[in-house]
Amino acid sequence: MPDELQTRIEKLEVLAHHDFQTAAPTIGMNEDAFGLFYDRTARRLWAYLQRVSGDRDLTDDLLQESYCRMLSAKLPAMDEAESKRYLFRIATNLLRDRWRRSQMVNRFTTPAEVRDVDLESRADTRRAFEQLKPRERQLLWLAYVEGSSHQDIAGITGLRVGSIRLLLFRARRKLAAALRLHHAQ
Amino acid sequence: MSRIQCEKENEVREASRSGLWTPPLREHASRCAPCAEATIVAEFLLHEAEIANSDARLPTSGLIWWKTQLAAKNAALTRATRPITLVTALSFLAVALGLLWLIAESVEITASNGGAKYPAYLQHLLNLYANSAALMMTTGMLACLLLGSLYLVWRE
Repeated sequence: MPDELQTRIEKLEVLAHHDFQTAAPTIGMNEDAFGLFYDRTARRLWAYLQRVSGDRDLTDDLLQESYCRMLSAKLPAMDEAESKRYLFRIATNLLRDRWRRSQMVNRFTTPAEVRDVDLESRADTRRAFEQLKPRERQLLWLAYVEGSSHQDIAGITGLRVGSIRLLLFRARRKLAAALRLHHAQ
Repeated sequence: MSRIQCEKENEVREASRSGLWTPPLREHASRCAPCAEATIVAEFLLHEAEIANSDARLPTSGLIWWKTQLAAKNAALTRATRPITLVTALSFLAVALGLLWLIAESVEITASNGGAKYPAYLQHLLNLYANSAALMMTTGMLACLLLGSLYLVWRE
């Protein structure tokens, strides 16, 4: 019941702030299929956007926009893995557009609830990740959390497959060094 | 010079994600520099992902579905009403031009009208209705607008 009420409130908010110029010509998935796909991917996408952008509000916006764009696109039949790649590519492009527009590099906000026992220690290690460049954060997250192959990462980020290995190596080395330094202290 | 990647790095990454380590792989990861780095990074990021997943406050899929449907309907509505908007704008333009023309003519007639029995603007309107050329122009303009509207509606 509270969920239904929240959805209604959110719908009213959308009606109030809806940009009536946004085009969404075709919807290529039925509602049930979308519901299942959403349940399997939404948390992962949210985590990716939040940890790469560091901005919760931006993450909430981009999450919704990514799914809306995906539903609006005229897509050929895709399996779930392809759909997920496509979704992450949309989200990555939206994130890049926002960075270009606002020249935002690091706008990290503290997550609402940090469930670690040692909060300060966790915050320190997190800072090591936050200090990486956005692209490095993207690459590491896709490779290590999403388990994407170099080819998939290239498809999502728009980088050449050949350069992923080196970029990933540099990012990994940087983060590992920062984490080791933290552990040594 | 250090190696960029070990051939077992993908296995190490997968083991970190799944938690399914074989003893030889664990042994390898402790001796191989790239794999040791990969393990540290993977453990850190997977833990971050776990926290982020539990922090996520997501809208319902129904809301996103509804929002997309609404955007699609609005886009269709905008496309469908575009000819009407265009014709309305053209009509306003035509009326504005017509009014300007009437005013300009009235001023001219007032200047050259000495002792007429009607006020200048009324005299001008009477003349206008008596003048078949002006009526033809107005009719032609309306016909053009009508044809333009029909064409735009037909195109949609």
